[in-house]
Amino acid sequence: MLNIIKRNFSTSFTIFIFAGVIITLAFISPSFFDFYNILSVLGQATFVAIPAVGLSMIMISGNFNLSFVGVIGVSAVTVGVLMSRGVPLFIALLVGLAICLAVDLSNAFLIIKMKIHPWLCTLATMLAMLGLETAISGGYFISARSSLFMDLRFGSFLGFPFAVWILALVFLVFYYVMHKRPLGFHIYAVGTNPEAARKAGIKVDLVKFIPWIFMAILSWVTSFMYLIQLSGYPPEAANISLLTVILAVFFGMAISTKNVINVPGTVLGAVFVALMGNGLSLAGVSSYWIKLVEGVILIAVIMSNSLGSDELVQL
Amino acid sequence: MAEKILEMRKINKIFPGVHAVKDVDFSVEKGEVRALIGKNGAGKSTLIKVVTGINVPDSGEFWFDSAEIKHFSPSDMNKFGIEAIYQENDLVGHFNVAQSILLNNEITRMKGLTIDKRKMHEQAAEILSKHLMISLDTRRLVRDLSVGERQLVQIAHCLVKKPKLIIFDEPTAPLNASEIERLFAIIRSLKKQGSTIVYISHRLEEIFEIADTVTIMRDGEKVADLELAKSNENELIKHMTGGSFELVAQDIHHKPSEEEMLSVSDMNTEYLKEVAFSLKKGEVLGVFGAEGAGQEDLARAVFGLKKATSGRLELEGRTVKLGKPDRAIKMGIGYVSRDRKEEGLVQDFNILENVTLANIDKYARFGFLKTKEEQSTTKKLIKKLSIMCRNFRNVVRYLSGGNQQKVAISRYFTLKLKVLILDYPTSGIDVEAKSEVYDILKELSKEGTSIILITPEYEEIEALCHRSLVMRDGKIVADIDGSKFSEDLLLSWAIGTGNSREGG
Repeated sequence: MLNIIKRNFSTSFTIFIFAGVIITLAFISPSFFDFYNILSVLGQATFVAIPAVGLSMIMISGNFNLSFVGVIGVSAVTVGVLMSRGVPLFIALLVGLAICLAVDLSNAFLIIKMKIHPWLCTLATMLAMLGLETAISGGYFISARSSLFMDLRFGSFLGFPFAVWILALVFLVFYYVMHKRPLGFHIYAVGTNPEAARKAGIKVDLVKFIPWIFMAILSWVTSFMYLIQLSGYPPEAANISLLTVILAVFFGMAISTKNVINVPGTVLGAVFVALMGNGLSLAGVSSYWIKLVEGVILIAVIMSNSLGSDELVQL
Repeated sequence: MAEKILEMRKINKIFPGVHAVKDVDFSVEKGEVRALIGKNGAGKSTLIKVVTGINVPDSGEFWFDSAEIKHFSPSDMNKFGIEAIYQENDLVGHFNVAQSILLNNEITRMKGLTIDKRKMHEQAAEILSKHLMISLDTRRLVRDLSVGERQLVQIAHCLVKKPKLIIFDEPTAPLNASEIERLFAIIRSLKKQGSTIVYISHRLEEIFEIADTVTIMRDGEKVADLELAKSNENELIKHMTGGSFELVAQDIHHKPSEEEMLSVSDMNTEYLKEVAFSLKKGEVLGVFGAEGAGQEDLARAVFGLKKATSGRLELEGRTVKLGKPDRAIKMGIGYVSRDRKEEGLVQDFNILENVTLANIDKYARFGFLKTKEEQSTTKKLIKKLSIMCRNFRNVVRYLSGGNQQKVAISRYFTLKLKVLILDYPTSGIDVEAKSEVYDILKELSKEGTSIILITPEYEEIEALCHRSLVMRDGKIVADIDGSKFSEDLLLSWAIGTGNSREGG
């Protein structure tokens, strides 16, 4: 028994944190386990989970991405501004998708073909996109009003709101792609040992490209979710959750017995972070302290990762 | 005459400054096991990389399975049916055995809708039992397997593609005796099933056991094609060494003193087994052996970079704590690593900064650098070692390999070292720079520094060393005095045909 705990140290440790935090929160605030509260937590988790799934796939393929927080913003404010000028919703959304694809495909090109370090490249595109977002929005809340948005925000299907269905859909699609398709195996292979993948006849560069397309689509979906849930886009809304998204990915890695990033783990991580934020604010803790707790937990999770294995955790 | 599966004619491969493969004809007949041997740097790896499509030859014809091949790339060669098993770890650690064997050949069900894990495990187990005659739990993760088991997974991965030619590159290097037996049984059964095999090794006894024919290379040229049944080990060694060699350096003249400088006893690491030797003051001790016989581990363990599980190190009778490079430097042990690009020098620092880095305390007063003294010492060193540069502000990255090596050694000049360990100090540098490095070593040893010289080149041992150790499989197998040096003797120890440990 002790051996199993030792071997899966990071898994046990992270589940311990998970359980500890949830039990504590349940004690502090009785409304925590209320069904409607859970639904609202899942709704909040969407904002984290969807980009985190995209980031997971990019990290599995051996790269990294920071720029999605800016891409989501530019897509959201562009759609909002176009709608306010009377452009049909459908066209506005297509423009948003085109922006996401353009930025992430150029990221992929710069990183994979031009061999620019993923951190530097996406840091640069992140800054550029955050700048562009502010230039378009002027730093104000961009509102996006449409009856469709209202229906999606407040309506429900089989008792679950739209946001929860989107979360489930994203989870199922990418769980299938990453864990049930040969492509998923290949993305893991090029990320862990590109030389082995090349020798097995896998087209390494092509396989490394694909997660960026997924990332673009997921960034677009996230911007859409912001517009629906908030009837608009507050300045740098996605940027504020950058750390939380990274935390969700690492949390998922820490609870996997193989100690690798994976889609179910990431979604669970996002839900955990949302639960924690929700529980703490129900208990009346200020949002500044919530960030602090998130940071401390991120460090604990990463440490448990590197203690559990000989390899260093690398972003 | 049997049909040829691979035929290469007049193949040439030139790298900047090195003509690695010269007009080589290399052919392999269908169904045979052909060994390829030669000393380190004889060109066998370069040649094999042409076969696997990694190196594009500069000239020559290449025929495979009766078709001429003009376009070279690894994926093309895979398509033609050429597969290679390298020593490197070409597996994904967190994949299980079945995933690894069937990587890029995954089995799906429901018309390709999802992966069929059950079938993958079945097929992987079948390949393992049918071709490799072993049963291995296909659900285990690669990172939990032994080195030998990983190699079996790699072989199985190659077999999935039904190759016509399989290349084994030094496959037995990481294996133990029973794993080697198993590998040979596998190779024999592959041969029986009609595969053709090229087998690269430096262990002659293995070649006689497993191969039918042998091709021998020396200095980038093919020197012989022999049938092993009609040959013997001495003939092979003679072809490998060429019988004679040119002296590249003047022999060392001075005699070391009788004082003992360094003694190592019972040192073990993950790879080294019970290493023990001693070194006199001013003595140059060679360490000879095939690639990966443990020389690098020995150097790093003595210097403290590699963790020793046990062992005792004494310098002038005082015990040196193992595993502490900073302590080793303070006590007077220096180490110039093989990999000067990654470890030896800070490539973006200039000469002066690199020279003073190792002993920065000496030039500092109250935490500030004494620039004048730094500069004058560096200038003297540049002159003394004839380092080719405009001045000491040249960034090391832009110096030639030989000059970089001189900078790496020069740092230790100022320290008045007791022991200097050099790992492949002349690899990748030109002849002139080599002889300058030799002169530096001779001068250092004359001044009383004891030197441990790890080198793959017998000529350097012959010219520079008072005595030489020979290593094989992590053990010191011979300790040979300079008066008895001969290339055949050292090589026969290194590749395992010598008998018992020579007295020393």
